[in-house]
Amino acid sequence: MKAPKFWIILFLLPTLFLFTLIYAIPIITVFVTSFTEWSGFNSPVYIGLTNYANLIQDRTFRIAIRNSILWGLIAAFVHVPFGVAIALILHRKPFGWRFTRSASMLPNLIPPAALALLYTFLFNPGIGLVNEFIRRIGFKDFTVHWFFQPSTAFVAVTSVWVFYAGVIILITMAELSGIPADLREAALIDGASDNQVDRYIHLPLLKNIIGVGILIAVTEVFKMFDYVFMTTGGGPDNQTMSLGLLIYNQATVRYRYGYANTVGVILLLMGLIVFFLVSKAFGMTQTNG
Amino acid sequence: MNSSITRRFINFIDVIVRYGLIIFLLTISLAPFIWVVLSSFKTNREVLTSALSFPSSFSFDAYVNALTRARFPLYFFNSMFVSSLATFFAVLIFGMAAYVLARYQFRGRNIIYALLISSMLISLIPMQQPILMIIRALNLYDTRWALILVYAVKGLPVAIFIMHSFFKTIPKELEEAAYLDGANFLQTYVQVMVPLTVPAMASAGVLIFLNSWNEFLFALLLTKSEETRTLSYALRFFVNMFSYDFPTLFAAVVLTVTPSIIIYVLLQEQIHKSLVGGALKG
Repeated sequence: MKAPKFWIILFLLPTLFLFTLIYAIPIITVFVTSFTEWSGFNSPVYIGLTNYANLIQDRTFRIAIRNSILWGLIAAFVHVPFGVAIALILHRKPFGWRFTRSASMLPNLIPPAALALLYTFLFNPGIGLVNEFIRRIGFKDFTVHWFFQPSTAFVAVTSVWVFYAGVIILITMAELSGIPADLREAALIDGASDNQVDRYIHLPLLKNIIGVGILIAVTEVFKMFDYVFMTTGGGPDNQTMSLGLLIYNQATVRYRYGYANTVGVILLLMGLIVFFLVSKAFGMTQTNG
Repeated sequence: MNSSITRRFINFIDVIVRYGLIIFLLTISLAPFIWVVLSSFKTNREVLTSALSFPSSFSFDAYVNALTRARFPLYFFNSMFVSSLATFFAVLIFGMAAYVLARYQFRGRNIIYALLISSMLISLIPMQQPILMIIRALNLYDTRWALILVYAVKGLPVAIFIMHSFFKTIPKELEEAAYLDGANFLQTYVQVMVPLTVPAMASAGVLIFLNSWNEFLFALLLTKSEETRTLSYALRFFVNMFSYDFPTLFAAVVLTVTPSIIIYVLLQEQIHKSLVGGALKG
């Protein structure tokens, strides 16, 4: 279609400006300064791969990587399957399915920092619901400082998000409602049970959306920040450190900009790797609008 | 006979598992909220005595305390101001770009589109430090405009994606008719295209608004004073503000999440539609 060049440029310019300012310049800065020693007070000094070499030696970084991988696996193999299972159950429209769906969205819609703070109350050894509940069901002297003991902190932080799969439930149900009902009816006439329909007809057709769900969930936990910051602050003994929090600590608290940005490069790369792995595993075709 | 018993048994297990999962889901989704609301009506002594008891009387003291000691109206205003303007600018600016990218042939179009869309794979979290530096350089540190800028740009991928694919579905004849009637480019966009694009703008807008409302890290990074504090960032200060006064602390959390719940109840259908549309961007 004919259009004056003037208008095209005018319509694109603000977007390109913002993209350059908040995406392009920062991403280039992150990559370039990851090879430098830089505190923000001096100008960056090129030190080659020293930051990367130091990262491998850095115990806190290794814990953060381990946590990210574990959280990613938990997201892919617990969080998403749980959401898909719930979606398959609710898709049969049992009593109260609408209410259940809305209720499941609630923890995903409030600020994550609020959910995390709520969990520090729930797990509080003095006033919390969890310890008292465990005491009530028979373990009389049960007292665990969930967020402050190295052995339980990881589990406690994970529990803040692992079963809150509202978005997964929502997108899976939307996908299910797009599957023609005659498929199910034909299978039922042929003597299949509803569970067999779920297993052999619905689940294969959900492949794409499950891939999307895993991608969303895994990249989300890779960049986990609010949950950790509000509950454990990465502790105890860095056991719940996340990459996002590590970057924050290195950059804002310790002024090691170059080093922080090296962690940033790793986090960016992890996101890309997961994208390609999941796209390949699920044979996802990139939608191009 | 035997197989029918087996089948019944399997059915029985099946029902137990199904309802068990649903009850588990409802419990973990609602119990924390119900518990914190109930506890906010207790006295501090009651909170310390037992987590599983009901409040002996319903006292609103905690809410009065929370409202007098923390500046909720200010935090609420800041959240509203920042989220609304971020949404407005994102939809306005990225809508314009999505329109020309979806509609017009020009050199570099595919590269620009690919570049903008590639930002979907990139989160801003690894870029904390350079973004903080840029905000300081722009003299926006500790202002609401810093958050508006970052939150709007955070919405770039989803806004471009949703609106670009929507513009593609609008028949070109509509614009051609407008041109024949003598409308120029801007008039055609504003008077013909924008009204048609409202559903896509709402879809993208709701997501950007919710993300801005809930955002924490960049509020922590880019603001400092109480004057610029948003509701979700204010959560960070409650524990110190109300330490050892648990009912007030609980009331503060309830007050913080209430707007989100109200927004969800009012806009449920739209929020569901947006989340489904936004998720498919992957």
